[in-house]
Amino acid sequence: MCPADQPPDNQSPNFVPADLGGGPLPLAEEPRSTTAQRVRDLLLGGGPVLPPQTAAEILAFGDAAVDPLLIILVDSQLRDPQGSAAGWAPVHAAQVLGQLPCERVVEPLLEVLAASAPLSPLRAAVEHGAGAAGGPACQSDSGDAAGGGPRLPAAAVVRVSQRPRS
Amino acid sequence: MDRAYRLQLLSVLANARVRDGRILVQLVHALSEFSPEAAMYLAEYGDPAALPELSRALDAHKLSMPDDPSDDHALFELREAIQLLGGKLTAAQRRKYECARLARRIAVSQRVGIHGERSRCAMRLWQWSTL
Repeated sequence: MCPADQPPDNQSPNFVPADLGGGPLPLAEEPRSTTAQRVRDLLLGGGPVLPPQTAAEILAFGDAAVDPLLIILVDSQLRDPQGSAAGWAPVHAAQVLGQLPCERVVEPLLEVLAASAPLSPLRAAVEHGAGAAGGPACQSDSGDAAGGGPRLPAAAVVRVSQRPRS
Repeated sequence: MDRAYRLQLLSVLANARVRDGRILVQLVHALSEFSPEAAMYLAEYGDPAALPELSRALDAHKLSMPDDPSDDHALFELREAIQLLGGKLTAAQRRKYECARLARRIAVSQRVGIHGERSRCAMRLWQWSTL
């Protein structure tokens, strides 16, 4: 037997490597899976009101709760009022996530917001028109606060068009 | 519920401690939809780049009727957000704010029956509105 094939002194010669192909989850993954399931059970089993003890239990998972919460948050099927928790689970997921500030929530949330509030035909037309014009979308008559800042056309243009006439 | 959902999303984004232009755009877009809440979230987000939009929203706000000043909640939040972000109200905005504040005081004193207070406030509101 080649010395390299011999087991180390502190290991049993009968050691068999774990089978990682399709078997039970590795030990490190198990708690995370349990957390995800628990978070899901807590949120989908509720109603319009999120009890403080439920929120506290989820928050106690800390960072491990972020991914399960995100999964619930972006699942549009869970927003169905006829579905689990009367559609409130994503709302509560967002509420709990708000208490677990984390950079990685930003991208999914921006995607959900973009998908959940598509531009109305009017706003899309205004936005397109403002973009084509190339100039500032609107000008403020509010003196010192009317300076630079981001160009945020659609809402601003719509609001300006609603400004009371003097 | 969709409203609650969107407000929660905006709240999480505003408090995610991430400075991203897309977050600012979403919060500013929300000003036309949920003015009071969006103003609060912009203040929490803490980017003074929102000041011009907050100022425009305050300019665009129409004062509610004196007998029902409850719609002026947005105006108070906009003013608060502007100040928290280091901005200043213009003279016209200050006048608008004072009108709303006096109208609110009149409404409150009507509710609790402080007639002297009511007539003093009504007089000041009249003075402001004629400036």
